[in-house]
Amino acid sequence: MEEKKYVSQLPGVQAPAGFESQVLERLKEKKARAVHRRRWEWGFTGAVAAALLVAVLLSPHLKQPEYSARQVKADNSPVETIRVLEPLNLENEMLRATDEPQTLFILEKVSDHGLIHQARY
Amino acid sequence: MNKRMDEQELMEKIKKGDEVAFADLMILYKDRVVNFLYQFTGDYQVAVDLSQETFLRVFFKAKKYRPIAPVSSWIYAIAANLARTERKRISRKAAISLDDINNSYSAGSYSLDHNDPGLMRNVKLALERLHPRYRLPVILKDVEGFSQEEIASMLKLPVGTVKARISRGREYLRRWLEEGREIKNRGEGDEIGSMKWPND
Repeated sequence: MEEKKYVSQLPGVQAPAGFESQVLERLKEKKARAVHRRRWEWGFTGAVAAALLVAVLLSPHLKQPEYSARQVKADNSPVETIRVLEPLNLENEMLRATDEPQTLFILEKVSDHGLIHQARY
Repeated sequence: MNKRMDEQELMEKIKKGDEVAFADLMILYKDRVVNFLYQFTGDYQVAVDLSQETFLRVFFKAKKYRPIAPVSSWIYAIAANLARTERKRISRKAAISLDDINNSYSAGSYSLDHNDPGLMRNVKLALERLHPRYRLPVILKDVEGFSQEEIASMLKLPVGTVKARISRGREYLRRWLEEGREIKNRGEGDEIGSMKWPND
């Protein structure tokens, strides 16, 4: 355990005179640098954001599609219409309708104030 | 207890950017931190620079401080981190192998008297020679007087690891000091310089 005693008895040193003032001086410098850096960072961030915004606004994908000459010509060309004639069997339609649940709406006037209430059954 | 309460109050003020409270905290700890870093680095100017950086970090990171740990442990943890980073930086820059440096440790001649400046110089040199892995916990324990639990908290290591490192660090110191004593008794000045750095 001698070595422990020896180590604990090693001659110590003290901080030099003016230690606190030197640290406070460095602290001021660091604070000033930090403020400067923060401003620069904000400026840089703002510039990047503005550039991105401009890029997005000027992006060709966001523009309204313009008709090309070919499209205009195609639009003006006579459209071929195909008429489709579908036979309609009313009997089947009525049968199908009766299978569906029926909803009856009764409208009645319940007030003279012009409000119409809808009663659903 | 009052001291701890005062320190907590100081920290609360520092969190709000109070420079007066910050200066008060520095007055409380500057000598201890400079001494700790000096014992670790062995260079007074480096120790002062690192101490200043330590206090600057204390100010800027004050909001991260939680009063579950003593202020002293928190400050020492910052100082220890800075010291380790500095050591790594220096070791990266070092172009000369430590084995190539002529170690004045070998020139030591001392008695068992604790007041012997030769002994103290050799203890200092042996401590500097100790691998930082062991040196840091040994200094925190034997010079600064922290408990093993506090050291474990500071270094973010398990308590068992801290115990083992302190024990092994002391063992290396003891061995070197004994070898130094034997060399002194034999009157052979240079043999001890060949002692190997503990690499494990």
